[in-house]
Amino acid sequence: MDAHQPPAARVPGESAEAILTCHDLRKRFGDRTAVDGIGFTIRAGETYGLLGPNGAGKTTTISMICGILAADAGEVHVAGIKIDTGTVAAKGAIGYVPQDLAIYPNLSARENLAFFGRLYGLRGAHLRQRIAEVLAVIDLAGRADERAERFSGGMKRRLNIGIGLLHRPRLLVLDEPTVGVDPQSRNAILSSVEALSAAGMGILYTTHYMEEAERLCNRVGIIHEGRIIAEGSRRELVALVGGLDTVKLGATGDLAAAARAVRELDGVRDATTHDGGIDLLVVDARRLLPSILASMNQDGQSVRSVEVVEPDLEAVFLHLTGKALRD
Amino acid sequence: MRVALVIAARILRQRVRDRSAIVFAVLTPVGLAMAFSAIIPDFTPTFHTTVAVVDHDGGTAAQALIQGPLHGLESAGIADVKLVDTEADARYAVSVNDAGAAVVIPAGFSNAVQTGAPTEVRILAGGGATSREVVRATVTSFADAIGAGQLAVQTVAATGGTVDAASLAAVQAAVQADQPIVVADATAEHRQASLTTFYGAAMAIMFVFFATQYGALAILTERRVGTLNRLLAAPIGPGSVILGGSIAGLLLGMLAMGILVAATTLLGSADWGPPPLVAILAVDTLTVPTAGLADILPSILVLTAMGVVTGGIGLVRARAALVPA
Ligand SMILES: Nc1ncnc2c1ncn2[C@@H]1O[C@H](COP(=O)(O)OP(=O)(O)OP(=O)(O)O)[C@@H](O)[C@H]1O
Ligand SMILES: [Mg+2]
Repeated sequence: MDAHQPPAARVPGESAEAILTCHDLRKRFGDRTAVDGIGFTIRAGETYGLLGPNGAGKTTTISMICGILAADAGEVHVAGIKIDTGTVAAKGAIGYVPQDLAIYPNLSARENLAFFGRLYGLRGAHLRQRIAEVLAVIDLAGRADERAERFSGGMKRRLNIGIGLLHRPRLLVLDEPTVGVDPQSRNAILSSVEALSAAGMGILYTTHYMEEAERLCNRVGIIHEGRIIAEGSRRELVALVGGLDTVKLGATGDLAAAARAVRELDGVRDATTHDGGIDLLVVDARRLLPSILASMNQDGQSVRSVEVVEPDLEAVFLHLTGKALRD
Repeated sequence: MRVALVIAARILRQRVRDRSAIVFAVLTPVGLAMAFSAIIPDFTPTFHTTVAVVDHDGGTAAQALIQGPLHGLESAGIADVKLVDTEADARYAVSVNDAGAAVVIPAGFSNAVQTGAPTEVRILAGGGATSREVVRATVTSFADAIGAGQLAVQTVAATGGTVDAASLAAVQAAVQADQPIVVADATAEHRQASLTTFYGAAMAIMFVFFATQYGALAILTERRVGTLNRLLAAPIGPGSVILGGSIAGLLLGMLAMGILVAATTLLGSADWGPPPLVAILAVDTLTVPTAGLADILPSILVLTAMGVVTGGIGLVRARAALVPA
C-alpha cells in the first residue's frame, strides 16, 4: 500500500525561496475556536500537507491564507507580500482549489476556465493556450464545450482543480481535491500535483487521506482541533511514535475487556477499540503477535483477521491524539 | 471596471442560457403591455341620442345648420336627427324620451344671419344633461363658425345630471372635422394616454430598480452556487462582484424597459412622446415624457423612493453575505 512507499527523495533545500509564510493564525466562530495559532512555511518546489480529520480547521486555515476569511490574529505572506481580505493584486500569486465545487454548472468547461482566467488577467491567445493546456492536464479536452452540469462528479472535480492551475500560480492551495474521485482520476490528480511541484510550484495540500499526504508531501503538519500538533517529514513524524507498530485485530465479543487484557502485555503501548475490532500500538509486532492472540483467545473473543502495519502517519495521528484519522 | 464587465458578461451569458433573461426582459414586459391595453381599453363613446329639429325658417342658414353640424352628429354615430313640424311635436318627443333634445330654428333665421339682426336658436332639453350639452355645443360651434355673434343659443328647461365630458369632447372634434371621430386631441384621450404612459413609466422604474437589486443579489447567487469563495480569492476589487451583477441587471432592466416601451407603443396604449424623449428615458428613467408630468411626478417620486429602499436592502443583504458569520 501507498503508506509503505519510500518518503519523497527531493526535499527542497532551506535556501529555496519561501512562497508562503504564516504564523499564529487564529479564528473563532462564536465560542468555537476553529484555528488556534497555526503557522508554517512553504518553499518553492515544496509540497506541504495539512493532515487532519473532519473539523480540524484545515479549510478555515486555507481561507485565511487565501484572503477569503479575515483572521482574528496572525499574518500571512505569499511571495513576500502580506495577504488579507482586502488584498487585490497579490492574490494573483495564489491558485485556489476549494473543497466544495466552485464552477458554474450552466457554463461549459471552457467557459468556466475562460471566465476565471480573465479574472486573473489572462486574455487573448495566451488565455486560449493555457485553457488548452489545462484541459489536457485535467483530461477534459474531449468534452470542453459541454456544460459542467452534465459532467460526472469526478469530472467536475477535475474542472474545479483545473481552474486553480490556469494562471500558473506560485502557490497552489488544494483543499481535499480528491474527495469523491475514482482511483484512476485520483492517481491522475496526484501525478499532476507531483509534476507541478517538480516544476517549482509551492503547494499546500489538505487531506484526511494519509496515503496522499505520504505520497505527495515533503512535510506534513498534523492538524487537530485547530492546532498543528506535529510537523515534519514522514520519517521525522514516524520517529515520534518511537517506531511503534500497529496491529489491527478484526474481532467480535467483549472488545473493551479484551483491550484491557491486552494492554497488560509487555510491549503493548495502547489499545483502542472500534466497531469490529481493536487497534494496538506495540513495540515489535512480530514478536508480540503470538501472545496477543493468546490473550484474545483466553478471553473468549473470536479473532477474524490480523493486520500488521509498520509506522505511518495514521499511526502517528493515533499516537498523538488517541483517535483514528478516519471514523 | 474591466473585471466587472467580465463578470457582467458571464452573468448575462448564464441568464440567456437558463432563459431567465428572456422571461425577465422580453416576456414580462410584453405581457405587461398586453395587460395594460386590456385594463385600459380604447376609448369609444357609447353615448347615443336623438335630436328633434324644428325648422320654422327653411332658409339657407337653417339648411347649413342641419346639413352641417347636426348631420355631423349623425355621421359620427352620436345622434340621429329627426325633423319634426312643430315645436309642440318637438316638446312631446323630448318629454316622452323619443328625443334627447330638440333644436328650434325660428322663422327669419337665415335672413337674420345674413343681415346681422339678432336671432335665437332654442334648445329644448329633457332630463339628460349630456344630450343637452352635446346639442348646445354643436349649435354654438355653428354660430362661431359663421361668425354670427348675434346668434344666441338658449337652452330651455334644463334639468339635472352630469355632463359626459368625453362625449362632449368627441362631439366638438367631430363637429370641427365634420367627419366621424378619430380624435387625437380630445381631453379624455389625453388623460387615457398619460395614464398608460404613467403605468409604463412606473413599471420601467420598477424594472430598473429590480434589476439593480437583482445585481446586488448576484453575490448571494455566487454563494449559493459555491463560487463566492473562488471570487473572493481572486485578485479582483471587493466591489467587482456587486458592480458586475448590477451592470448585468441594469442592462437586462434597460432591455426590458425598451421592450416595454416598444410593446405599449405598438399595442397603441401608451404615448411615450417623440423618439428623443424615449431615448432620454432609456438613459434616465426619471425623465418621463407626456404633458401630465407634473401630475404623475409625486407618484414617480414615491416609486423612486421605493426602488431606492429595495435596492438599498439588496445591497445591505449583499454586504452581509460578504461578511462571514
Ligand atoms: N462559517 C463557519 N461558522 C461557524 N463555524 C464554522 C464555520 N466554518 C467552520 N466552522 C467550524 O470550524 C471548525 C473547523 O472547520 P473547517 O471547515 O476548517 O474544518 P476542516 O478541517 O476543513 O474539516 P473537513 O475535513 O470536514 O473539511 C469546525 O468545527 C466547523 O464547524
Ligand atoms: Mg475542509
